[in-house]
This record gives sequence, C-alpha cells and structure tokens, in this order.
Amino acid sequence: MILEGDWLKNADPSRGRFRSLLLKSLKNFLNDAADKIHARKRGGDVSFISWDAWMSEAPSELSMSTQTLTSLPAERLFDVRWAATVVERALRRLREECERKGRRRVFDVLSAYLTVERDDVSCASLATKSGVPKGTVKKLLYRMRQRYRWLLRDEVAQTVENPAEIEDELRHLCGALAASSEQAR
Amino acid sequence: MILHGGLDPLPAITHEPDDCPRCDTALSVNNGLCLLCLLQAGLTEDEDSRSGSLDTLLSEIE
Repeated sequence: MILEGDWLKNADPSRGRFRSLLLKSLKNFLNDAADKIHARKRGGDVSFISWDAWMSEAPSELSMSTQTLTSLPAERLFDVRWAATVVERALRRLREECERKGRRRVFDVLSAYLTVERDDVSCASLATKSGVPKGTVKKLLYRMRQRYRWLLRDEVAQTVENPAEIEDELRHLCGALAASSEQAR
Repeated sequence: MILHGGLDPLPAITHEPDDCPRCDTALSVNNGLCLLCLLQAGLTEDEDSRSGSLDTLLSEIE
C-alpha cells in the first residue's frame, strides 16, 4: 500500500538518498493512516494491510534482542532493517555467483567466515567441510571477502546519488547500528 | 536496489542473538553473521573486485 501508484517514477535522485525518500514516504503513509483511522471513526471507509502479514513474507531474518527491539525509536529501527536488507542482498548475490558455478556448498561453509580474522580460521577444517583442497580454501576466502565487499558497495551505490556518497552512507548505517546496540544496554 | 520496479520486503525480526565477539553488538542476519561487521567490511574498497577472479577460482576447483 505504501508503494502503490507511480510516485517512484517521479523520484529525483538528485534530491537525496533513496533511504531518506522511503523513510519520508513511510512517515507520510503512517500519518495518512492515522488520519484515516480518525476519519473511519467518523464514518469513513478504509482498508488496511496487516503489517505482520506483510513482514511474515519477508525472505530474510534479522536477529536482535527483545530489549533492543523495544527500546529503539521507529526511525532507528528503520535504519537497522535497511542495513540488514542491503547486507543480505549482497550476500544473496554472492551465493548466486557460487551457485552458478555449482559451488553452493562453498558459499554455505565459507560465508560464515567473511568477517572472521584470518588467524581464527582453520583452513584444514574448512577444506573438509566444503570439499575443496586446503590450499584453495585460503584463496577462496580472500576472493569471497573481496567480492562481498564489492557487492555490498554496489548495493549501496544503487541507493545514493553518486559513488562518492557510498562511504558516507555506509558510515551512517554503521553508526546507526552501533548507536542502536548502545541504546539497548 | 530500486531499479526493478519494486522493493524486497524488509527483513523480519526474529530471535535473540549472541553478542558479536569482535564489535560487541547483538544484531545478526540469517546466517548468524554480525550485521555491523558485515557492514563495516564495505568500508574497505578494493582496487579490483571483478567477479571474474572469484568465478575463475570456483571453476578451477577440482
């Protein structure tokens, strides 16, 4: 319901980031919904789509503590979910690239180590789990990390006006996540 | 992200994750990886990250 109509066609990338546009649209939608609720009480007729039902169809998951969830303002929660969506889209593309080469298992095993320090990785163990030679595991990890970084930045690039803003957007989202975690403590 | 006529639904929020041993935040995505660490990884820009190098290596696996 939020994205009904052709308003997106008129969106002007030069006027800011897509995340900001979507947040503004969401606020407008909620304000409109609140107005309609009041109108309904006065005899108006509106139909609502269940947020829970819509969210239940989401293909991915974001895990956070109940304390974090209940303590965050809506705007901060929006940023956290946005960050999770961007990250998961990059991970999904990486998985699909592995799948196209018939190496889904390589992704399943090695993607868990995308952010792990090299010293904490046992290449022998990963070789056994992934079914690839030990010497290849190290190279695969390096290139998967490199490729993931590129895919993540590419996902962010699609939401900002120009590449120079990628860094700022990433820092904004990192800051939002760190602040959310801090706020919940 | 928005160029194909629609948006993916936002991620659903589920259970309680453990604190990340690296950054101490408790936010993770569906494979259990820390969301903040995954995002911070993007702050490092590589000179050459074409898919070819990973594709080639995946193809070379015996």
